[in-house]
Amino acid sequence: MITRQPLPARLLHHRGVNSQWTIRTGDIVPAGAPIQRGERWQHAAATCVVAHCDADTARLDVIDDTPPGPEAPLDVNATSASDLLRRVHEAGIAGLGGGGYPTHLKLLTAARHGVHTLVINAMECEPGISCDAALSAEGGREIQQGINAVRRILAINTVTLAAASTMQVAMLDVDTRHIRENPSATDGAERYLLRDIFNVILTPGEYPVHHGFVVCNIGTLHAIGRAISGHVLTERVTTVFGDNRWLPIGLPLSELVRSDTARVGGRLSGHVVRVAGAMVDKTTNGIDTASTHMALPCIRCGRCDDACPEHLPVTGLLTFSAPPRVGTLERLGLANCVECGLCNPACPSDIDVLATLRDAKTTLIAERQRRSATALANTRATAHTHRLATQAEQREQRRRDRLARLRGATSD
Amino acid sequence: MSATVVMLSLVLLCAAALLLARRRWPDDDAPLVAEIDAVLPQTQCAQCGYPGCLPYARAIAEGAPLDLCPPGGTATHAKLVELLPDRAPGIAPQTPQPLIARIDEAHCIGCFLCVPACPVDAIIGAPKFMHTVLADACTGCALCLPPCPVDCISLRQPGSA
Ligand code: SF4
Ligand code: SF4
Ligand code: SF4
Ligand code: SF4
Ligand code: SF4
Repeated sequence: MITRQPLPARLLHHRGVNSQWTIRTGDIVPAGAPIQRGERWQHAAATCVVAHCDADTARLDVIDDTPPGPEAPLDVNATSASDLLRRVHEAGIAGLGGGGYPTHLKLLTAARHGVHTLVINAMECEPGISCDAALSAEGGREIQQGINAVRRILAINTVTLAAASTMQVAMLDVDTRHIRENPSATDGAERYLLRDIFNVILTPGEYPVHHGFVVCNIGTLHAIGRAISGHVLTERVTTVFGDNRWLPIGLPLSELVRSDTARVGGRLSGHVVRVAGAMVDKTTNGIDTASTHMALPCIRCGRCDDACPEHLPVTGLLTFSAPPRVGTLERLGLANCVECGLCNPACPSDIDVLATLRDAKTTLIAERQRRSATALANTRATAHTHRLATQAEQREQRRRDRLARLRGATSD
Repeated sequence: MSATVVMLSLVLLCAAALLLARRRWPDDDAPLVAEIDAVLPQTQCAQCGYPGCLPYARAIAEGAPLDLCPPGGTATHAKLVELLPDRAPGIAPQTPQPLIARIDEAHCIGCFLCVPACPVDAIIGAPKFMHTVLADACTGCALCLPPCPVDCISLRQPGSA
């Protein structure tokens, strides 16, 4: 039984990538109305007054806790693929498995590549997380509706279900099923799913769509199903201290956790965050207490190297991560770390290897962005200088021509 | 006889090694300028006193101080010091907030004066038509602000409306 968290007095939101606020400080937003548009839509979980809104953050004060009423439902079989896709976009559906990538973009890319198989990822394998299993027990109808919608949007031939044995998925109408007892912690990663079920190996930089597959998390399919029946995404199921609850998106973590820090995500791949100012977003699949342990120095035992499913030189990555040496980290393949967290339990010194690598990865990504931005500016500046020089030269040439013509005229 | 052969092969070997070394480590300054330019932020704002990043890179290679680029902030300064360890480091400028330009389109009179001023061609428009800034290309150098006769260009934080 999934319980429902009561609405808090206040909701917090961050502006998503490539998205714009539709609200200003002082506005009143009705429940379910968009507060953000663009690539990532976001809606108010309740009727609110906008207490504060700046470039990146917004704070909404809840004034009425009636939940958002549904919009008109769509009939999957009588609606065009593009209208279904628009509904998915405007309901703010994003990858609820933890990725948070906008689902309409994923489906658009899939449509462009032409995919034949939808893989339902119900492999929930992160220790300590059971929100998908809880959802599969109660939300079968919505999940089925989500599957039908994706099937229609992408004209899919085959639907394959990959599920852990804890999922209650017997009634789902799919073409093939792969049920796994006790999946290991990485079995749910897209690339390992495709390897284990279809023998398809993704090289770094390749995605399932390149091989004709689209992989959707079962929770995301549930949200798509709800969107089709008219519900925008304003809440999600999260495993909070072992229990599953519907949490409003934007719920401040301080409503759930008393301590200063908390673990968000699973026990392996989660992050430890500061509770103050943090909130539940669409990717928050678990909340737990952060263990407070003291790490010992690295003894270079190499156990993290052996634990890494991507065969990365983890010890080396760790050495060059603090302070981060971007070039070296890039050469060692940091970008291929799938952030599974298997290196952490392997470490006898209790070092939070994953947290260190994540920080280094953030630096690496920022550095790459900086590099591409400066490359663009450089190209444009060169072109600009060249253009101005050419124009000046042409002007000078015209002047000389005129002068020559005038001289010619006077000498006649 | 064998001594001649040994000496001759040694000579050839050394020549080959020298050629290889020359190819790997060419001795002109051009790569240094490119390396310095790669570290500069490419804002092209001319606040360093040179008409752009590449000219400043050339000047640094010829001995100009390392601490003249404000947009680069501490990060760029640190990289320059790392690249040229035997130079006087100077004082690292503070890292400024990234900004980009915005044209208040209601007030733009289409005079075209801002377009040639922009070092990265980030403003599009034509004489007597409204002008606008390409947010992805603008480096926030502020060079377009002074030429505008109606003061309708301002700098803002990227992402703010
Ligand atoms: S988190 Fe990254 S480095 Fe650690 S085991 Fe997983 S893939 Fe390897
Ligand atoms: S497992 Fe821990 S102690 Fe061993 S090499 Fe990796 S980080 Fe160091
Ligand atoms: S001050 Fe401006 S023009 Fe000079 S190097 Fe720095 S960014 Fe480039
Ligand atoms: S638009 Fe203005 S601020 Fe932006 S790069 Fe061009 S001149 Fe600089
Ligand atoms: S200088 Fe000002 S008024 Fe003239 S075109 Fe540019 S923005 Fe418009």
